[in-house]
Amino acid sequence: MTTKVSHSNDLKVDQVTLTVIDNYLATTCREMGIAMMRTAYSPMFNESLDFSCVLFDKYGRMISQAEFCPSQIGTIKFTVEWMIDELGPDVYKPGDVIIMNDPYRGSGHIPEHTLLKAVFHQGEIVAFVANCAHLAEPGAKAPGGLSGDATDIFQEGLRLPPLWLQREGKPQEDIWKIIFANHRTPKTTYGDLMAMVGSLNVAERRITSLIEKYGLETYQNATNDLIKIAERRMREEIRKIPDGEYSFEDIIEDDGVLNIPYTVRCKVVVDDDQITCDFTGSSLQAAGPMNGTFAVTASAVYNALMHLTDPTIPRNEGCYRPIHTIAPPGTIVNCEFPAPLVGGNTELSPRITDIIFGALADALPDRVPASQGGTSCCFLFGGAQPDSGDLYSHFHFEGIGWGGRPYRDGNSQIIVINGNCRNTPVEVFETRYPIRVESYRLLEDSGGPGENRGGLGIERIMTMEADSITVSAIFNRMMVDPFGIHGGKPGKNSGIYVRKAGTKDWKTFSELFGTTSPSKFANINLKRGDQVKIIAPGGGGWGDPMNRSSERVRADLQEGFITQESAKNDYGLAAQCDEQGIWKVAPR
Amino acid sequence: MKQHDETSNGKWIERSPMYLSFDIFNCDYCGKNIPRSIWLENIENKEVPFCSPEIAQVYIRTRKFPENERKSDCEMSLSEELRVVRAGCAALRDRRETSTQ
Repeated sequence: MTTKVSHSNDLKVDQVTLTVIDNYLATTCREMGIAMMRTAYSPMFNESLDFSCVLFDKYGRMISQAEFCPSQIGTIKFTVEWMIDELGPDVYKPGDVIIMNDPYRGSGHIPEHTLLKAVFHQGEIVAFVANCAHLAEPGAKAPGGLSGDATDIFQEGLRLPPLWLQREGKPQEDIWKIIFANHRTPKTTYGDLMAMVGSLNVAERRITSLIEKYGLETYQNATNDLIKIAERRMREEIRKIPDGEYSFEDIIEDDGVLNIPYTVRCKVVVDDDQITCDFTGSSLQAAGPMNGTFAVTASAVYNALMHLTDPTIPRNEGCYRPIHTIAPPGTIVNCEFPAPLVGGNTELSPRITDIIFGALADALPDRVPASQGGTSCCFLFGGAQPDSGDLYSHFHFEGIGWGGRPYRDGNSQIIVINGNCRNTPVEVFETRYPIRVESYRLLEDSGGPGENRGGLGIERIMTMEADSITVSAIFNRMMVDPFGIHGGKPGKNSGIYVRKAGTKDWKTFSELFGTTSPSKFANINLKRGDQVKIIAPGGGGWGDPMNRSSERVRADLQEGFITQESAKNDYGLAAQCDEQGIWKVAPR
Repeated sequence: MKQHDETSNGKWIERSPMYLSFDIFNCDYCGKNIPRSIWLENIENKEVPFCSPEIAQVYIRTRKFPENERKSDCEMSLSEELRVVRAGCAALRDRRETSTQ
């Protein structure tokens, strides 16, 4: 989305120059991402695009971003702020690269590593450039890092406070050695981290060129002006929402350690030109890894409100200023050290976004969608390659159905709202790992019925093609439906099932392996020929399904999106398929 | 490095950076983790700590600290919930030990 710059008398730079610089900065972020995608080693980077690239001014205020992973863009604001504040102002030299992944210092979860570099002009810091990316292997107790039954942060991987990965352009070998010694796939880690370093170098060159072209004063005035514009426009957007208090709550169904539900409650207070999202009253922090840090919760709040406001507002520090989050420490939305939290960034984050949607459904009836499937369907696996013996590790996530919208059906099979990533294509998946994908299809009737139907989830069946593969998972929405709004019905639940080689029946991992949760577990050993079935949930429906036109229902039947039973039971329409395979629907 | 609006009625102070102990300081109002710099807002001649001048302004607007009820949906007391958590962890360990025997 191209942002738009509106001018006013308090700005120092003219509108044309501001527009050019705003787009230049966003394009720089995109170019950083392309550099990472093309040079990284793991499919997490070059296929899934699970990374984000962001620019900051010398004070650590975000000045630009692009269309990357919303949860990372939200948390990196806190990560970079923490890194600069903890290290202090005068410690950076040209060529330094600092790494950090500690969730208790602002990172979303341990697999997400942030790299930071200061950009200098005539000996002075003029910007910070940063990227955040999900490494497929962070050295946790489970391959891939998402240990679904972790009981503290130390089981979730190697935790790095702000450390110099590179000093004045030279790699800090001591730090690299520690990282390599703790990751199962050090070569992949090396390639991915070097791709991140290269991406920072791209940004450094671009910022330097920009300042050489326009001069330091114009550059600094422009970034200040862009922040002012974004803040002013976001405040204007918030003023359009009727003042008031709006509440909603939803459930995290279990945490992988205890089979108890956790409630996430939010009161959204709209007060003139600012919004406060107050999570007071949410459940205590979970025993298992479904907790979020303050940064995760605030990031999810930003994500929701960016979806509900004008997408042409420049995305920088200014658009976040009128948005406030209150997350009491010790609760599931702001857990206290050393609680486990790796699933918070994948599961709690989209739940919070949906809760904000639910709260504002009546205040913004023309904008708010129904609940999306709301889980990342995290399926992790690792082991030794059958041919070479090399260790591998991968984090697979699945697309889900998004909620029906006021103006259109929900999208089908799209990565969860906090991700904006892609899953690994089957061809790459099968080439890189000893798992064969038997089938992969949209799941009929999974989208919540509605005047605007929820998007469809998927079903994927995979067969293990190695003697031993260790799998883990973090799913949600296996028991609690993705909700519909304004009379729409819920989408279908998620699921993950296993079928042992030579047997007929699909079973949950709890039934077969005794895991506490059927959807959150770690380090289950599967054998050659065993199969795993992933069900990704559908989105909730928007509006009364009886208001959906018979032609749209017929089209859904024709596409195989719904069944004859659903047409009758959910939409009140009798349908028949003729010999040519053409569906006809009788009037209501 | 930390910036603030010159009209704000307060000042930044710094806590010691952590080294051996990882002590996390949360903003009393919003709960945000604070690395080093704490904003002290002067409210009615008292210095009240916040994570930023902006959050101090949100407080001044509402004049109400959130009631951190710490209430779980299971209606359990804090100690009861912790007891269940510990019991659950012990049960999990037992099951794993049994399954590996």
